[in-house]
Amino acid sequence: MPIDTNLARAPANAAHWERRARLLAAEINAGWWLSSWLPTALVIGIAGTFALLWARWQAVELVPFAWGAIGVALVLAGVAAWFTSRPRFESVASARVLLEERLGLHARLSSAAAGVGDWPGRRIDLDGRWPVRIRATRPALLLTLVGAMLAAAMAIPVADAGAFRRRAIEAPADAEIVSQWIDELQREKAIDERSAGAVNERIEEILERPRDAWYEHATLEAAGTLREQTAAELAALARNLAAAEQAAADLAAAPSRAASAEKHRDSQALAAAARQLALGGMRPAGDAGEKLGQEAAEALADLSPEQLRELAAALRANRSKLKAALAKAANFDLDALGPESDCEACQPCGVCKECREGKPCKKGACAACKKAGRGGITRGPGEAAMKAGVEEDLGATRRELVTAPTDVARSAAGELLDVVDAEHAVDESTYVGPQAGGSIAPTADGGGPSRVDNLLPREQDAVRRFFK
Amino acid sequence: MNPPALLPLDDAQARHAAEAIGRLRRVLQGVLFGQHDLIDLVIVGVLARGHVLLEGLPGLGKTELVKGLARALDLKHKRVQFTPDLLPGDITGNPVLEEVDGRRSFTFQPGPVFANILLADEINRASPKTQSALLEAMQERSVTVMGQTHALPNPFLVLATQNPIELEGTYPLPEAQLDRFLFKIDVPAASVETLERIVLEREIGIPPEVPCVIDAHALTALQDAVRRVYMPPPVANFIARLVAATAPTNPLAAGVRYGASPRAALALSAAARARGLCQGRINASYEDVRDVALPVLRHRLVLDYGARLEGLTPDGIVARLLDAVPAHDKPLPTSLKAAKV
Repeated sequence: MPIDTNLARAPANAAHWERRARLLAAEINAGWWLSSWLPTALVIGIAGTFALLWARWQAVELVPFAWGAIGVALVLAGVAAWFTSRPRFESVASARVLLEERLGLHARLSSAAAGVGDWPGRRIDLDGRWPVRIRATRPALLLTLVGAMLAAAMAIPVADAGAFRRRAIEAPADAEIVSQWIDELQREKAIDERSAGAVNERIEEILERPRDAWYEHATLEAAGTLREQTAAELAALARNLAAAEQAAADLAAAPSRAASAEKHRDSQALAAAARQLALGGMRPAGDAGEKLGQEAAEALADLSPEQLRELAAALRANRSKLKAALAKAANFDLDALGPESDCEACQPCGVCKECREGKPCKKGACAACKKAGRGGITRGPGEAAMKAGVEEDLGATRRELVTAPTDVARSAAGELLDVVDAEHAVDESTYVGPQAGGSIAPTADGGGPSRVDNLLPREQDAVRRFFK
Repeated sequence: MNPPALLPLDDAQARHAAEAIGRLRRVLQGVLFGQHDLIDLVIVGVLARGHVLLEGLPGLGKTELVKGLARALDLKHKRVQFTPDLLPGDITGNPVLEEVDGRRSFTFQPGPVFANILLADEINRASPKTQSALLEAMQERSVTVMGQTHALPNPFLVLATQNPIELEGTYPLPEAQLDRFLFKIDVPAASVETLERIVLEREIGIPPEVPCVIDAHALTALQDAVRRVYMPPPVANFIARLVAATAPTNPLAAGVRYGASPRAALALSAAARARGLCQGRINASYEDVRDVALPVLRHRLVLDYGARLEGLTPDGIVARLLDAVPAHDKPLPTSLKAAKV
């Protein structure tokens, strides 16, 4: 038979004990929430550590966002933990059971809560008799671990991925330099588009290789070769422009000597310079290119003095553009282009034949302008008597290997002295400028290149495959 | 229609009842020396309107306790020595052919069961047929003879004893009958101090003086007060979980073939209330349940053959269950540790 519980007595101490029960329930529920949240927090801590490291590696600006994401994740995990642990939450009534059992109250709290009997007095000593004790070690360890991981993620030195990427994509220096030259030359319209395109294709060919192979010896060698060849071609272009300009100016200045040997020589010089301009790796752009392209090399001598002057002016302008463009570009030795024809140091003497005929004065020329080779005629390929060594044309430079004994004191007279009645057989029609790697140069009696010193990477690969 | 709700006891009523019970306890302690727990359980059984099965060696004072209880309560008591040739009518009573006014008719002659306290000595020596004669009396508190039902006096209490030795020719009580006993109490042997006191204060053939401290009317009032002791829902839940834990399917009850019945839960509840009143409380508590769990449950658990071979006893299993089943039924999170009660 049920007990009538409608006769509840005045709950004098009800508030006190109910507050205790609620406190106990909250403590237990916090424990449940904590045990549900902590594993997730540990996972978030690990993920957050990697996220912070990634953010610091990727971009420092992302770090606050990473912290925000970690915070949001922890909060969301807390909310989820509350929902998942809620079924195990302790009710106040259940907490009351724990409390009354621990305090030895003989179910008095439950009875009083049901309205049977009075609530126990408030003077019951709770010190050391609280039903549960917190085991703080494990939660503290986990939280400390999470905090330490996040702190370590902020403290560990991390390289900037942007800088790494920038370093990683930096092309070989020589390729960059050549690209800069071509850009400047195109901007100044100093060379024609085909020449620039050919060089750019070679740059692209080098850069098409995997990035981690850009700094391999073969790639660097190819880039270096490209730079040397391009520099040599530009120097040759400058020389040929100067030679053609000189020859055109000479022809324009002496129309009356049409049949003279001197005119013939100037005509030959103009034709040779024009041929070399047409065949060179770098061809002039603008008026100079057009004017040279309109006529055959041999027909240039038949131009009127006025046309020859225009041609000379166009060639001079092109050379000036060439020099101006390369002056803007870094890492180019401007001396390789030769002296300016309108050199300030060169002053007409007024007494020599050239001054009287209105030609550039050679006597008053500066030392640079008096250098051998001015005019485009060098000793060139071919055999010459009394050579002490073998000359080797490396494109931009020349190298002479000494084959004669170097110790003169120990040398016999016959080894050093040789008298040969011969003539230096110079083949002036042979192209002596820089040769494009792998390209076939025109052959002549003086001998063209029958081998190449440097191979492009794809050519090297092909050779490797062949020999493999 | 629900029965009218009982008024709960107030603290003064509970204290008053506890004082009366205390007087009874003191008197019985003067009858049976050194058996305080046994006396308490018997009093609890009486207050809970339950029947008690006492098991112990001869000479431990079982009969003396029952006699003392009857005198202290001023109740009519009878003693029946159960033997194999005892017939059911020898307990319940027999119809006797009598001639009244020249007419012969059967008149019911009440047996020894018509007493307030029936001491069934060595109950396991009677045949099952005779034992079963007690079933109706214990459960219904009435006897039916020749189609006529005769109510037993109120209060009615069966205190049965059985001897754990000399089991030849005995008839172990069936589970159905065992279940009708509220308690099965093991009567322990007396200690040296108790024996010394017995030697000093008792003589053979001279029963101790036992004053009447509670009359039948007061006893009935106390039994009614037990019903008014409040059973808090958490304590009822504890009882339910404890009884459910005796089911063979529960891992904690390994070795149990048949667990306790719902009647065991009712017995636990009644005994816990009675014990609460003995303590002067208005409600039953977890401690009360724990204190009465062993005598309530030990005879209601049937162990399987393997458990008996392993030496498991119902007492051990009940003790294990009491350790494993907490009053607070919810687990605590690992970040918290339950303080030991």
